[in-house]
Amino acid sequence: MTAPTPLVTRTTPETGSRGLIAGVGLLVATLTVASIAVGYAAIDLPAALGDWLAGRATLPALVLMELRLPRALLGGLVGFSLGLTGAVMQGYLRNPLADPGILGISSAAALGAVVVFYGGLAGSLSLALPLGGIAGAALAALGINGLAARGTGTLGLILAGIGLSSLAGALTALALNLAPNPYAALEIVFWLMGSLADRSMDHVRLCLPLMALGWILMLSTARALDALALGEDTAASLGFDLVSVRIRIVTGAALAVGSGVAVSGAIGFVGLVVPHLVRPLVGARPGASLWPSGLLGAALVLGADLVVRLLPTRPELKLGVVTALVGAPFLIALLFRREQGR
Amino acid sequence: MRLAAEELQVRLQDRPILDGVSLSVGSGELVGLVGPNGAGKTTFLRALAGLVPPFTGRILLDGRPLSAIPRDERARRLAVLVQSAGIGWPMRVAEVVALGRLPHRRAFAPLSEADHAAVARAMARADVAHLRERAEPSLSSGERMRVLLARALAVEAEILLADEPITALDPAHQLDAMDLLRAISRAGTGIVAVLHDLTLAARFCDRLVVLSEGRIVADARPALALTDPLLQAAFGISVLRGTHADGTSYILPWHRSGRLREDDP
Repeated sequence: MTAPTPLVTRTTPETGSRGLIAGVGLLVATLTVASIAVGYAAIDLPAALGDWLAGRATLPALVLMELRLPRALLGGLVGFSLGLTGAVMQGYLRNPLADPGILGISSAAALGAVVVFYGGLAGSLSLALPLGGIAGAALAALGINGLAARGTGTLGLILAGIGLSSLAGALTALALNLAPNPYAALEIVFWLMGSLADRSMDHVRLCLPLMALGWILMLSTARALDALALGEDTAASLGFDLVSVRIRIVTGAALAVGSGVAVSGAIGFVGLVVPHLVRPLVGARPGASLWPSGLLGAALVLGADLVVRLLPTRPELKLGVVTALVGAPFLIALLFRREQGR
Repeated sequence: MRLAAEELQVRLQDRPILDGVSLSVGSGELVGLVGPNGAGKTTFLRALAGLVPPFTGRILLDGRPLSAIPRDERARRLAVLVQSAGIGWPMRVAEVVALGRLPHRRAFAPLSEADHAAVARAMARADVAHLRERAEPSLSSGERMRVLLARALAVEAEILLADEPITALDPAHQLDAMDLLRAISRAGTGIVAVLHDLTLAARFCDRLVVLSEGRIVADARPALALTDPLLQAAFGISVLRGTHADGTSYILPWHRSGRLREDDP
């Protein structure tokens, strides 16, 4: 053909997204520090840190290490999981409306925790609740992976997820309906709204390894997600084993989101909105959006959790309520702008 | 270098789509795969690419069963341009074309100089170099087709399988694309292209394989393959035949019916 031969120029934005990752990473670090500094009791942070380093179990040291630090760490971990999983789901399903819960994993995790609540085990063991949530997510992932291994297409996967979500939602409603007393039902409802309050380092130790494994599995699919932008046949022709990709994504999402829901309840909209914010900044390449989406998710959850604590409402607003209140109008505005842009 | 299908049977949802088809394409050959709608062309091409498992029969790449060749090696040696391909996200054209280099890159490695050079070559050949900064929603369907062709060319594979690579193109770009396919085959690539335009297929291809109802009804040089009885039986059309001043002959689909009318030349 007759085009002039162009100069060999850079075609990759990988260096550009490195700057973005550094920028959002800095934001996350700042918000983590802010999250540690903000709380209901005013404490002298340097003194508290000094006490703890010196091994003195003073009250400020305990507040820092047992309350503030786990809350900030969980905010970052849960947010990263939600942002990353949202970006992976949207890339994998080639659907901008996909969110971390689309495969039904969040609902199943919530159901697992509710079953524990309902069974009255939550009182006997502090980690019973998150363990129940993780069990729910694991069962859901096994079911979805069973479908994925049989070669069900992405549409089949979405339908299975919708079915699973509905079933888990129905069973959760059943548990509420049969709750022994109104107080138990209220407790379940509040838990489902999502919160990072009163979590301990035990929660961090429980979910961190599971989440990290989930992140690794999902991040390993970055290139396959790029190739999937051109469809499943093209991705397969470019050498990607799509069954393996599916299993890594479903398992990774179950580990990250399942353990996230298990420790913090349901925090909506973060995973749905974050990839939309990141996409224009990374040239819309799905694989390049993973790290920035995870980091921005962490920043968003940390920020929302700060807002929750700074607002004068008592008892404090649930985190999931705040992210939904901010996220929903934002999403509507985004879709509106997108339609106008056509 | 040779890709061969031997006595391939393919079933989709228990329906036989291909029934004992064989085809062989070697380096430097441009083979046109033609046939009416529903003949099984796309399924045949997907089977050749290893995207649909055959029910019986086998596919060999240089004598080795395709299924025994590691995925990444297969991806480097066989480039595939599928028919229904769209671009899922508003990615820049240069990045879409660069996806063709994925089989050549090791994990986490950025594009090498060789990759950049291959991407630039592919974009120049498919006439999309001027679109490099454009993104998906602003491309016309013809431009998108050429971008996806450039993506397949960027693999720089030994065999190129292309499903309807010229269908969405205007006449000038159709001629360009056929010229391009011929030039690439002359440079050593073996090409199988599903084509609907019999005039261009007959003019540019070295060989035409005619598929009808899941079977191969002709596999020969265009002039020998597209006989009047075959065109009537397989396509239900009759053609005008002529000879250009430079001596090349051409055909032109003319009537839906099987017979030429008397008032036609």
